[in-house]
Amino acid sequence: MKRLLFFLLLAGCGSDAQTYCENVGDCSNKGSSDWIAACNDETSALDTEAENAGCATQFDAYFSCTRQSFTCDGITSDFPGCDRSALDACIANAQSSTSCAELAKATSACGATDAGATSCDATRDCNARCYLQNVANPCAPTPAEIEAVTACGASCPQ
Amino acid sequence: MRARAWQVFCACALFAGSAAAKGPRDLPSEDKPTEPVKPEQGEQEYLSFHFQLTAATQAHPSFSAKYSGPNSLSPDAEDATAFVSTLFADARLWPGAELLFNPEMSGGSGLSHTLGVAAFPDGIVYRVGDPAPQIYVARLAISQTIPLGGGKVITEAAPNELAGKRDRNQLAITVGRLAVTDVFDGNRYANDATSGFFDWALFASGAWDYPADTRGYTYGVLADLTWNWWSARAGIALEPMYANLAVMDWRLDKSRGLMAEYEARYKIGKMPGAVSVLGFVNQARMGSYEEVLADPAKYGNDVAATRQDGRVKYGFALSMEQQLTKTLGAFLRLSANDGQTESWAFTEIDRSVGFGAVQSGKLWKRPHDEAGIAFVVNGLSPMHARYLEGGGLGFILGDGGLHYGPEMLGDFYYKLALTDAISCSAIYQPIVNPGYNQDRGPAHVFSLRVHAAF
Repeated sequence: MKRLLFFLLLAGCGSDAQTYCENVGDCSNKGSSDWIAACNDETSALDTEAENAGCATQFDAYFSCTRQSFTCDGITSDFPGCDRSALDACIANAQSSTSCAELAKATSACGATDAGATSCDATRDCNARCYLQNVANPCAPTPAEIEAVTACGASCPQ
Repeated sequence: MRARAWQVFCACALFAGSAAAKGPRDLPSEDKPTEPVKPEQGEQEYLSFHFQLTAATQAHPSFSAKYSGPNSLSPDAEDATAFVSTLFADARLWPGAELLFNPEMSGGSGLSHTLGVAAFPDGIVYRVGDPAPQIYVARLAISQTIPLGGGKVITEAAPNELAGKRDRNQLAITVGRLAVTDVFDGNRYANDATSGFFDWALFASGAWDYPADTRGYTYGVLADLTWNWWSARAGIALEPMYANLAVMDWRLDKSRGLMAEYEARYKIGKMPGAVSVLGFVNQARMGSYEEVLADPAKYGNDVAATRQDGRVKYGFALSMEQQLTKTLGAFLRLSANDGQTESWAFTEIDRSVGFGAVQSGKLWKRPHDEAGIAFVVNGLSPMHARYLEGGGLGFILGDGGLHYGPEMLGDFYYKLALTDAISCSAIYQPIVNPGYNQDRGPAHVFSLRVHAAF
């Protein structure tokens, strides 16, 4: 029976980010399951982004704070004392030092457009690194260099 | 729609036979004294498992509506199917103590996502957004019965009830996760939507905004003193944190539902009857109709924006039941609340009267069949009506406007007992002024319901 109770209690516990979505959904969005699902998708994507950027600590700290300090005034959700700027700054900083960002900077002079550092994941970052390492002039890669980039990219995470 | 209705009908026909389904979902504290027993009678049961499954398909043809809003019953023809199944596990822990554990699974949805009718016509459906089946703990509670003498009576095996014998007089205290309507607001003829009347304002008193989450359960402490011909009950239970949602507010100093009830049982000639009066005071972080009406622009015409701790809703519920002949019984439900604060846990009814009768099939030699006829008239407080007139939304109503009129419903059913465990009911519910709106309806709801209980 104790084990059963433990699992029942566990089943009722979500992550801090899920709790954030449920709290805001219930307080400000009439408990809309669609809104809560969309929020969960967003926070899950943010979680992955933060993880890739080495900002998991800031992510956890922010959502742990929102869990602890959540208040609902009428239909206004509030998280007094919780500041997301540390998380945002960490992600922005990490993204500006990625190979994606370097490649975007290097190719900006060529007039090329890139999805940019904001959508940089491990695969894109690895491919960007291959490109920078194997191409002398990012604006005019030779066929041999492109071949080398392709070979290098084969070992990138898919 | 037709295919689904046909499937339910075929299921009924397939199991056609005789005898009845068992069913009420009561706690031990609801025990009523029965006949005195001899010392050797009343073998004790220590563990019991019961199960119930109820599934219902509902449909209504199109009806006229001058306008509709986000929380309206759709004027287009539609159908919906929902089910709820419950396992009732009950274990005797020590003398007088029972542990109740009821996991439940429910799924499907009500007509128009369970919106647009205050006394909603489907008693097994919850106002949840996701129709996918969900499993949850309905009840997990300990009930302690303290014997107080008066002779012994037998309790029969039933869901959440162990067979045995007990004192006629007793105090039962139940603590844990439960439904307050298991103990309070009972009525022999109008209390079980799984096999009897299907309307929300008939399985409970419509204007009692009883503390519950969106599925009808809460956490609380309920006491039930039974003494000879009367019972006195009192309880405290958690209110939800938000109107009609699942999260409960554990700040008992700021939010709680208090209830007290007195029941007297009597006989007129040889026919038993009972009358009970329940008073309730709910405190929760509710919104105020007066506040939102005073400055609709400030609050976006949303009563939820005025929510504040400390708001109180109070009211009463009167319930009467009377056996009229050996096979016929009648009931009355009358309830009202102050109507100043937003509807919070049950539904948007501020005044309600319901009455009807249940005829056993003994009259036509099908003793476990049953026919029921009931009528319900519901009303809103003036402020609640004005709020909806201005386009405000509650958690179940909101046509974008309102030409106020009392919501009136009929609930007519025939329950066909198919086997010892299975019954099938055909139900018709006409609804005049759905959502209290004279500009909409009438709607006619037809249902087929299958109920199995072991």
